[in-house]
Amino acid sequence: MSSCNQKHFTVDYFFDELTDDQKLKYENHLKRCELCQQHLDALKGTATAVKRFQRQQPDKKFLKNYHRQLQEQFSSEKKRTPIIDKVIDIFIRRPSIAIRIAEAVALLIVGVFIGRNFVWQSEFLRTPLSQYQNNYQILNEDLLLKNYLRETEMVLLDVSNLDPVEDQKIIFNLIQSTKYRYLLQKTALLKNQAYELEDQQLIELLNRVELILLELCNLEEQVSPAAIDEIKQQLKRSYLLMEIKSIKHQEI
Amino acid sequence: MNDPDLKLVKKAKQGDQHAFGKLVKKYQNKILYLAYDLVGNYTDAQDVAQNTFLHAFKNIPYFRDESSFSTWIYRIATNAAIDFQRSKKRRRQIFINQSKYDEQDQPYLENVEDPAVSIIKDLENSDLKELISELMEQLSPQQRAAFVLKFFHDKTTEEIAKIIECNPVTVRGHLLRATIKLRKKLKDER
Repeated sequence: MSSCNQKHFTVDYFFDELTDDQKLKYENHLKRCELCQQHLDALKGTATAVKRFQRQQPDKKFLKNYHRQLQEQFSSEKKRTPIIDKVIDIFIRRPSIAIRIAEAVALLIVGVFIGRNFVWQSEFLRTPLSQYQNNYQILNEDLLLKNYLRETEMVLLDVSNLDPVEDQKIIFNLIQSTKYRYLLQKTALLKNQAYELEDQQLIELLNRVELILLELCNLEEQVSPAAIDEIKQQLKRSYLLMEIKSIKHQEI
Repeated sequence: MNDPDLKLVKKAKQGDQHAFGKLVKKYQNKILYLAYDLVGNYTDAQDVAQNTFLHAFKNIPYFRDESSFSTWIYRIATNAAIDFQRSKKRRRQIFINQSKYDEQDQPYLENVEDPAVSIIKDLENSDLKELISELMEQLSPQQRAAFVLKFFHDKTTEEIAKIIECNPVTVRGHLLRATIKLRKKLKDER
């Protein structure tokens, strides 16, 4: 007999892992099956040999060293308190879908905050007026005027304090920056608004600012101390700075 | 499932290193002996056992209670030992190719005495050891693991199946083949 479909029961029978019912059935089978008897004998022989076989014991010093090394190995692992581990588990290791969504939303909010405060704002300042003209309607008109006056005042103050001989670099930078041009565009835009509102005082002020700004723009290619002096004198005569200051403190 | 280590495992999963230390203490010798039975010397067995506990420590948060901790740690150790044997065999084959050394002269338990072992001068036992080591050489890694777990570590067929990740029928087959081979060897000795 070369094969028996019950031969695998021999192992369970020998190691007493069969139920009583299975055991009884197998014992009946065993009486008739030569192959299973051979397998059972082989198992008995192996078990006897293994019983006699003694595993070589490790040296005591070796065993002590092994235990010490295990202890050292695990004490070198980073210790974590259960609370920290729980937090890491919840948020990093195994976050639920809700936590993942919340993390994504939080990340988005942080991104928008950073963007609005550090990227979009500066981009807004650098964008020529013609590009954000379409958004003009949504801006608060008063706020636009206030900002405009603040910017104009700053530029005019810079100009009035310039030393034509010593501040050549600053003059060059001022002219290089196209801020004057934006101010010029903003002036034109506000003038249109002022015409619509029929605000004569504002129209007159904007006209005078426009004149000074035009002079500044013309300086782009010819920066001479005399030219700067002339603009400074013009600015002084116009009392623009004083007027802007007083308007800023009034209700517009 | 009634796992005696459940409480310690639960604590260890929450990051309690002291609890994991207790589990290590409980299993350190069992795993060392299992590794020795599979790799054949205590120096390598120590490496296998240390890797086993390190792996268990890192992965205990992912341990699911589908099996007992004992089965899980035995599975890690068995896999580590099998991997170690495979890499050792590869290294040895490279060496053999270089030195034209006959692989058949290299028994499972090397002839060179393991310095970590206190020698028991028992001739009968050494004969038996030789026989078993020869048998081990002829078995596949899975057969060897099944044989060791059954005869040296008293694991049930179901447990062995879980440890070596195969069908219980396959485990019974491995055990039968291994015992028949040993029986034949014993007969030849006589």
